[in-house]
Amino acid sequence: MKLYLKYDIHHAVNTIIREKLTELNISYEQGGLGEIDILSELSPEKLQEVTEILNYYGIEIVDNMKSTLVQKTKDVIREMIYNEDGLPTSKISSYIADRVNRSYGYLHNLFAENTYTSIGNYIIMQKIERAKQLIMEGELTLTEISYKLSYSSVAHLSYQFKKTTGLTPSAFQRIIKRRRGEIENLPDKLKPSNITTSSSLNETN
Amino acid sequence: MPNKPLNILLADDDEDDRFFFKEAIDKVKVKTNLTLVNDGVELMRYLYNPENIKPHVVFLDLNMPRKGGIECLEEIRANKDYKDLMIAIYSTSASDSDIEETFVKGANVYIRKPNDFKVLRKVLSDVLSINWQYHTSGLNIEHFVLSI
Amino acid sequence: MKRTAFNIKFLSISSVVLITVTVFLWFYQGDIESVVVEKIHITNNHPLIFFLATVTIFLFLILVATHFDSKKLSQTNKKLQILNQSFLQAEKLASLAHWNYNCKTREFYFTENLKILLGIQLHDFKPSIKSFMRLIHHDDQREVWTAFKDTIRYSKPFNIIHRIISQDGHVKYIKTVGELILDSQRNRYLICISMDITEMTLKNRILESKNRKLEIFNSDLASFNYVASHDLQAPLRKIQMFISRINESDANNLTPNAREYISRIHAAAGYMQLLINDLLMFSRTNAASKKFEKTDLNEVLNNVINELNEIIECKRVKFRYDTLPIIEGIPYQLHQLFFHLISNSIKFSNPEIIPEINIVSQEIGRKDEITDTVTKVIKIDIIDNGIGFDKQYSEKIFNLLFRLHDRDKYQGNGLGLAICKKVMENHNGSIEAFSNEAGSIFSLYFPLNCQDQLSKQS
Repeated sequence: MKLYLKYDIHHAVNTIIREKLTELNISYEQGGLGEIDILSELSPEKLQEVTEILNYYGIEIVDNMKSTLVQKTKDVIREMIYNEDGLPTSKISSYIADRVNRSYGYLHNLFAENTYTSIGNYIIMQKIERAKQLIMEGELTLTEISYKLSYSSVAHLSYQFKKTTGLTPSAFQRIIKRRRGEIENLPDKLKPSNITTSSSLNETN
Repeated sequence: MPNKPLNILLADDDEDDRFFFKEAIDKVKVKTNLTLVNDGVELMRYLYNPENIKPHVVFLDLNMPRKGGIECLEEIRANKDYKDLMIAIYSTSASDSDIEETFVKGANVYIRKPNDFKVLRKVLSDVLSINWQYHTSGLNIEHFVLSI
Repeated sequence: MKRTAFNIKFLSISSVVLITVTVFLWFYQGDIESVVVEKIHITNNHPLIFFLATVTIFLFLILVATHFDSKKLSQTNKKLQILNQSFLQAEKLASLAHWNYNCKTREFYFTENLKILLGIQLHDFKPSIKSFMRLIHHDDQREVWTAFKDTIRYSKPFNIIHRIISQDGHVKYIKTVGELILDSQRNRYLICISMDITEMTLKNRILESKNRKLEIFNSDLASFNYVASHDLQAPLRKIQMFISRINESDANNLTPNAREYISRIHAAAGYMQLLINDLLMFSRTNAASKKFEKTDLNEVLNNVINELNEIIECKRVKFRYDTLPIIEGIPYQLHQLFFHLISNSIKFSNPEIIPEINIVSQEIGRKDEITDTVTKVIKIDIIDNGIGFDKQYSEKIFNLLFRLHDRDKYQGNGLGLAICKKVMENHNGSIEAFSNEAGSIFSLYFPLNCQDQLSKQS
C-alpha cells in the first residue's frame, strides 16, 4: 500500500517547535521564515537541551549558538576591561579562549564574520570607551588611566585614543564638558518641550 | 547571525557627492538601507514624518541651501525622540576648531569629504562598523566622538 | 614791589637830610678834629644832636639792610621773570594755555597763549568765563559747563575734550583739565589748563578710518578664505574623486597615453589641493581668533610625533627631547608650528645617515635692543642633522612661497616656515634659523612675561 502525502513542511516544523518549546516551558514568538524569538533568557544548559531536541528532528539552530558565542566573547572582553583590579596578566587571546571555552582561532573567525570587526579592534574600542569614561569621571590622571588599562605609556594611550577617535584625550574632555554645558544652555526655541513631532510636521507641510 | 541593516540617511545638496556616497555605501560590508535627501528642510521633514523609518545614522553636509547642517544638528539634538540618533557631519574640510564646534553641538562623527574613492569607502566602512558596534553593544552615545 | 621801592627812596632821602642836619649842628659847635661818634656823645651834650645822631644811625642801618634786601628781591624778581617767560614759551610750544577763574570776584585770568590757542584777537576778548564759553562748539557747551559747575560745587577735578570754533571759523579740538583750589584767604579758584589737540585728533581720525578699512579688508579676506575652503575645494575634490574612480575601475581600458595623462592630472590636482590647504592654514593663522590658553608643549609635541608616526618609523628618525614648558598659547597654532618644523627636519634629512632630531628647551635672558632691558624668554631649539641650507637664506626661508628646492626633489610649497613665523609673531615671540654642515637649528623664542602673569593668576 502506498500513501501519497501532501504536507506543509513549515506547519510540521512549527508544530514540533511549539510542542517541544511548550514542553520545555519556553515562551517564544514566531519570527520570519526559520526564525523564532525566545522571549525569556535561556541558560546555556537549557539552550543546549533545546538544540539537542530540535536536532533530533533534524532542525538545526544555525545562528543562535554563534551569536551567543560572539556575545559571550564580548562579555568576557568587557568584564576584563572593566575589572577594577586591572587587566589579566596572561596573554589576552588565551585568556579569552579559556573563558569562552573555544579556541582563539575559532572565536576570531566567528567574531569577524558576525560583527564587521575583529576581536583585537573590539578590545581597543572597549578600552578607549573605558578610557573616555575614566577621563570624564576626572578622578584619575592620564598616567593612572594608561596604567589601569595596561598601556605601556601615556603616549601609547594618547596615540591609540587619537587613532580610534580622531581626537586627543584633552580635546575629547573639552568637547564633552562643553557639550554638557551647551545642551543645558540651549536657546529657548530649541528646548525639547517646544518641538513636537506633529506640530513641526504641520509647519513643514 | 542575521545582522539587521543599518538605516542610513544622507542630506547633501551636491548631486555628485550623493552619487559618490551611494556608490561607496553599496560597496561597504555592513548591511545598509540608504535614504538620500537634498537639503536640511527635506531632512527635517523626513525625520518628523512618523511613517518614515527612523534612521540609525544621519550623514549631514554642513553647507546646504535653505537649512544648513548646523541648524539641523541643533534641531535634532533638541528633540528627545532623536536622542540616540548618530549624527555624522560629512563636509568639505574645515579647521580643527570648526570641527570641535560641531562636536560640542552634538555631532558624533566628523568626516572630511575625501578626495579618493578608496578612502571614502574605507572611511564609510570604519564609521558604519563603529556605529554598528555602538548599536549592538549598547555603548554610550554621549561619549561617541570620531573625527576622520 | 612798588611799595618796597618807595620805602627805599624815602629812607635814603630822610637819612641824607638827617645826616646833613646832624653834621651842620655838630660843625656849629666847633671842634672839627673830633669827628667821632663817641666824641659827639662826650663833647656835645646838646640833647637834639644826640637824638638826631641816634635816629640817623638807626636810619642808616635800616637803609643798609634794605639795600641788601632789595638787591635780593630784584634778583628773585629777575628769576621769576625768566621763569614766567619760559613758562609762557613752554605754553606756546606745547600748545597749551593756563587760565583761572575766581569764584568770588568772577575774575577771569588767562595767559597770552590762550588767545592764540582759541584763535581770538586780544582787543575783542572780554576776559570772562562767559566769553570763553561762547567760543565752545555748541554741541559741547553743555558738557563743558557741567564739568565747570561740578568742579566748583564738588571740587572734583575734570578732564574733558571739547571743540571750539575760532574766529576764522576753524574747529579746534581742545583738551581741558581743571581743578578747584583755595588760596590762603580761602578764596576758591578754578584753575584750568587747555591744550590744543586738533592735530593729534585729526591724526587719530585718519588712523581710525584706516583701521576701519583694514577691518573691512580682513573680513573680505575671511570670506575669501571661506570661498577658497569650500567653493574651490569642492570641485577640485570631485575632479580627484573621478580620477580615482577611473584609476580603480577603468584604468585597464585606457590607452597608455590616456593613463599617463590621467596620472598627470592626478598629480596636478593633488598639488593644487596641497596649496589650497596650506594657503588656508596660513590665512587662518592670520585671522583666527587669538584665544590664549594654557598649553602643554609636551602634549603638542606628542601629538605631532603621533601624527607623523608613519614617516618617522619609515625613516627611522631618532628623537631626543627635553621636558618642554607649559605656556600661554594658541594650541592649534602651536601644533602647526611643531608640525611644520619637525616634518621639515624629516623631509630635509640626509639620506646617508639616520635622521636625528633634538629638541632643547631652556630659559635665557634676552636683551631688548629698544628698551635696553634684559627679559627672560623660553628658547626652544629644534636641532637636526639634515642637509641644512645655505647661510644666506637663513632669513629668506621664512618668506611666503619661498622655496629652496625643486618640487620634484622635495615636496613643498614654501608655506610651512611662513606659517611658523606667523605663529611665533602671534605669540609675541620670534623664530631664527641657523645651519651648517652638521644640520640645521631652528630656535623659537617665547617671551616669559605672559607666563609670569599666568602663574600669578593661578
